[in-house]
Amino acid sequence: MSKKVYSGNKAILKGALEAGLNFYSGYPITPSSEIMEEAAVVAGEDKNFKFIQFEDEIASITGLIGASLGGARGMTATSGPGLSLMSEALGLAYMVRTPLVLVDVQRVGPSTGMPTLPAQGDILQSYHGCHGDYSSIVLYPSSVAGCYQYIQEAIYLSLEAKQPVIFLSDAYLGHLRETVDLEKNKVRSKEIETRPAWGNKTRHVSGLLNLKGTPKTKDTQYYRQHHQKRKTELQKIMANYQFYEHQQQDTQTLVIAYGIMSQLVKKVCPQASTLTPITLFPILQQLKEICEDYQKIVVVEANDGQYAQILESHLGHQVTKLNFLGGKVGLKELQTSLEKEL
Amino acid sequence: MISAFDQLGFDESNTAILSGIGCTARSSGYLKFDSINAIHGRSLPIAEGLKKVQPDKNVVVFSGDGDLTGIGGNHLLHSARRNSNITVIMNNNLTFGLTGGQLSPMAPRGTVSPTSPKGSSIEPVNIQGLVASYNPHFFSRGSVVYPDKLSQTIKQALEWPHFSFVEVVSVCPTNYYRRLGFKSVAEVYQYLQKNLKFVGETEKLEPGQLGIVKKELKQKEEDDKK
Repeated sequence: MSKKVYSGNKAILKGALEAGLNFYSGYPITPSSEIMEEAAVVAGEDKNFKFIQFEDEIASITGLIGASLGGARGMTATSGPGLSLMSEALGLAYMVRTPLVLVDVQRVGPSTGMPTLPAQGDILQSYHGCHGDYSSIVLYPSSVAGCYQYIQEAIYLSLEAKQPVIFLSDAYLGHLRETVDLEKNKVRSKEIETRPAWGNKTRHVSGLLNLKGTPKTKDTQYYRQHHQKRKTELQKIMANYQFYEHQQQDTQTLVIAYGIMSQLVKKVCPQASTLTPITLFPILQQLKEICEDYQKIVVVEANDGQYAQILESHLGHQVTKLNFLGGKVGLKELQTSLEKEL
Repeated sequence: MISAFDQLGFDESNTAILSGIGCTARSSGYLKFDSINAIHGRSLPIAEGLKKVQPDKNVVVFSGDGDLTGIGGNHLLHSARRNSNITVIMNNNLTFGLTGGQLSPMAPRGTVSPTSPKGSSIEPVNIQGLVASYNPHFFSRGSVVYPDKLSQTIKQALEWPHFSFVEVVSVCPTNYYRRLGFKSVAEVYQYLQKNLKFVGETEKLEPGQLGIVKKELKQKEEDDKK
């Protein structure tokens, strides 16, 4: 039987294992903790799977950086407050080119907020939560099967791009139970040329801007070249990771929604043309082209218009924003608001 | 440290050096090993992650007092508790040298610094008390003014099969001792040589004493832990 009923959280761990996950470090936080508990069970059964419960989220991600330098395929999972704590180390992982996957099961914030209720309020932070200029990679599936499938892609992508990938989910998706077809949603394992692990080498890595280990902390020209080179390199890699679902109907309006909101939109308005970006950042290379076929763009999200802001600057024109701040979203309310815009 | 490495056969094929941020932390980049000059305070969890996936590797953390006891203090508390086989060498110069001599958590009460102009009224961190509260434990103190003996102490720490900690009494002539009225590095060295005393292996090291405080697991406890 290749079909299983999983929660979104469980599907993330199972999918990650499918892509060769062999290290997990973390600190418990609602609504992501089931991912960590599943990982602890695996560690108890499989000696080759390493697991550390750290004292906080900062240690969780820096421990993951250490494991990644040592050659592990690693992941951590958290929620908003943890993402905030991990932000500085995400910058380090970017600078020292360590692949890792950070799962953020979003809840209502800021601060402790409403820990058990879903939101999509971490879009901007996952896009640019570190200080300084860098390019982030963010994926966000819209179903439990998607959690299983795209976490595999996230792991391969982090290895290929040699940098962290943020994998978003939310309290709703994390605890939603759906059927996952393990065969259909398995990603063909990819042979990726990874950087050799630490061991028998003399390789110095540093959070300082450096050229092969030698600090370049006064060289503006090198800094600019370094930044541009990484950006170009990432664009090339991302060409193979353009994930989205485009449901075309005979309409002049396109509804853009992602994560759990995409499922809800399709449910209450099956007649709408929809675009569900799964690759949130860097922004889909095809996005502009798809949007050009419609006269009106409506963006539905469970926050105060975070992704819409970015899309507006990307498209160069305004979009219609349907913002449902985090918490409970009523299907009737969503349907009424959507029908007014179609 | 390097001479202790030589004696033990620790080389680039089997050893990694990890550091955070600060004057001392830069040294990971001066050595020919797998090494990281990471972010402030986080060298310990990086070391633990690495040790977990490469248990045969010698994992050495080499950083300063501000990095390890200030911003990284929480990790020290828990790394000592998890007791994995990591050696921490803390260069203690009693100050935040890189940022201009502000008050370090290791600075004694009364220390005058740019952030404690009237003298600090707070006790320094008791690392010995923290490290020695776990079983087994290895805490030691040496000094740069006695390099040969320091190397011997570091060697013993590296050989310890659990978490081991070496406090190195060091100097920052520019940002610490100058403020106390010292005129030269030589004067600081002479002062420290006069005031530091070797006591060997002991139950507890008092301030100004150099030596080792350690407790091994009995065979039965060792078996139980497995």
